[in-house]
Amino acid sequence: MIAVQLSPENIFKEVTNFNTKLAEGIKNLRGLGELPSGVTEKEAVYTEDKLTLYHYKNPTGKKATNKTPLLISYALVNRPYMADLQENRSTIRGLLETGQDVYLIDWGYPDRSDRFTTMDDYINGYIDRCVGVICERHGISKVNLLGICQGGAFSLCYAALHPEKIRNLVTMVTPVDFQTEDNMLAHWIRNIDVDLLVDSMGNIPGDLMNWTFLNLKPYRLIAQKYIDMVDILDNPQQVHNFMYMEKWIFDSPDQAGEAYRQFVKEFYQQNKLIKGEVVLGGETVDLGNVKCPVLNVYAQDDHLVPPSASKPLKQYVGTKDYTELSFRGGHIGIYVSSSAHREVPPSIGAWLNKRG
Amino acid sequence: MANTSSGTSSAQQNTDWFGSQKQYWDSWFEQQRNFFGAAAPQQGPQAQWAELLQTWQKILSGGQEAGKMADVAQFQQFFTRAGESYLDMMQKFYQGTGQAKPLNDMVQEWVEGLQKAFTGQTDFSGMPGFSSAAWGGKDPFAAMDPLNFFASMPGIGYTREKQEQLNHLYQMWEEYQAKARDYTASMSKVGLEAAQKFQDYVANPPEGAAPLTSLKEVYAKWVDICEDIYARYAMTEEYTRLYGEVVNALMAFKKQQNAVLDEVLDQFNMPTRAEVDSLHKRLHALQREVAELKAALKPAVKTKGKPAAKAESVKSAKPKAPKKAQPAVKKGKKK
Repeated sequence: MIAVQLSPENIFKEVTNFNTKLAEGIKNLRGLGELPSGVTEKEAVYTEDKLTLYHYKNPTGKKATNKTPLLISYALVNRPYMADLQENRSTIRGLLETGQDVYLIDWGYPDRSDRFTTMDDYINGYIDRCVGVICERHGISKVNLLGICQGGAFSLCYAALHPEKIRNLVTMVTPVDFQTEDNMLAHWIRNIDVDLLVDSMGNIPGDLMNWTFLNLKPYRLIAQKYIDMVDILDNPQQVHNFMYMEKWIFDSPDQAGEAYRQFVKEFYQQNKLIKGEVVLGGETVDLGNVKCPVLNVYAQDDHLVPPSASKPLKQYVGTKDYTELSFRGGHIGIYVSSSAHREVPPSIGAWLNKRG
Repeated sequence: MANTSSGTSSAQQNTDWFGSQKQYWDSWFEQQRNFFGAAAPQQGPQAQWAELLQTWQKILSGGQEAGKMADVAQFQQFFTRAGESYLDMMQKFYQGTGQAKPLNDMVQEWVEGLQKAFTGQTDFSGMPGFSSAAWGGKDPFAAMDPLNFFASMPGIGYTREKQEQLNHLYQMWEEYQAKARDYTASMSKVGLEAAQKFQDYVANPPEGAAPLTSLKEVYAKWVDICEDIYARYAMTEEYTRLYGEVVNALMAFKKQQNAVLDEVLDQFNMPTRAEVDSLHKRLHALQREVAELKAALKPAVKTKGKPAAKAESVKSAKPKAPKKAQPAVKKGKKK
């Protein structure tokens, strides 16, 4: 068998087709207009520093049937509208449809004035005050908490430190054991002098985070992805979808220096979360204190937070009501793919509704 | 059309096939040139790719918060790289069509070009947050002290300390350059191994493998092989060590660069980064103290239907005693 069988006709067609699609693509891109940051209507109910707490409105006008509101804590990396990218690709919309009353913390874009913001500030400060606002609005003492990726790790810390304020906890693509064999980021960060990095940079630029993530699969993410993109450039709807994602991927806030320092050193390099050695605001984070029901959602093909990093949660939380939900997809696909939209929010909603 | 026939070597098949197709290639080559020249002047794939990226950049930068995308040149470079390997492949095959080159030669030429491209682009000084644009993307010391002569001399006189600072900066740059060379050399190994694997695949495809019948399939196979080799290498102790060394060396340089810049700013009676950081640190400590005092003073209040709150109106459900107002993490060790 000859491995490469190229005919002149096919090459000519391919080159011509590529060229034509590029030309069409330019037209489609020019007509794209502004790309929104989230599509579901929401109201800002609380602001503090760069943070905004949003309350989402159900597009159908139906009232929430679950009386315990759901607070979503997103990662500090990238922007939370990943969970509300498009009408037909929105985790938030999916959750609203299951009767949840959804709130979301938007951390904003930290600048150099946030350089000294610590994990304690984020977890015992910002998250706790957001929980307080929601409890006041609803006249309740507990909320449901859903943490995404790094926001999941924050949510675990919060639930361990403030168990009296959490009714149910959902973690999505959340790292728990940071030193599993297949965790490439953990390998790379092992020999980085994080103190030197933060002392030199101050805040960690969002572009630097992107640069690191792209280098996990450089040939595919820096090159092939854009070659493949040309195939869809003559289709305005597909261009639209692609650009929504592209905007989200490169819309990366800088990381507050001190919080980054602590997260990378203590979580990634020292794996302190599962050792029960993380200390926030003078108190030790003991995952055994998480006694509320826990739903752990992970993606089978996640190259950023491999399942091996998420699944150990079961061993460390103190709850007797632990459930896992495995999704066939990647770290981003779990929010934006059409199969995820069909499967994940309804499953989470059903799990929450069963527990109130 | 190329096809396999048992008992004939791949090389012989390729030569025969090219011989028989030469006329086709020549005519297609001519046709294609006419097409691009007549139908779309100045609009070959390379030009269109560049235009596409410009449009793209405008869209993305429009959606970004002001101040993001600061390094436009870097952004453009990043995206241009995305397409160039494929475009380069197209060009190689396209040019080859007029020369009746053996297919394997064209594949090899293209792979060699890719190897060079990937092994030559490991300049960490272009890393986000470390703008090499500040000195035009060039070695800042190339013209200053090419033989490391002055930097190796101890400073004397009343400017001694400042001279030492500059010498130190220069030595850190040299250290970074050395680490970057080590890293680049290691990545070259990845490129070479990928090229070898790809050539092996072309010469001896595995049993049952489907033939690659388009440029895009050839390209996809190359990417698969590269990613596979890269993923394995990137998980080795050697890679982790080299990666750590080059990033740490660059950060050490940047830290020293900050110190030197602060010296200069101070001489011009300008606020320095160290001063501004100090102010932020004090402000942050005060903010924490105020928040904790507020939480301690206000009782837990649960009011249903309370209107949207501002920070001042929030009541913590569980007042805490004021804690010592300091960042949880101590300042890092000094180098």
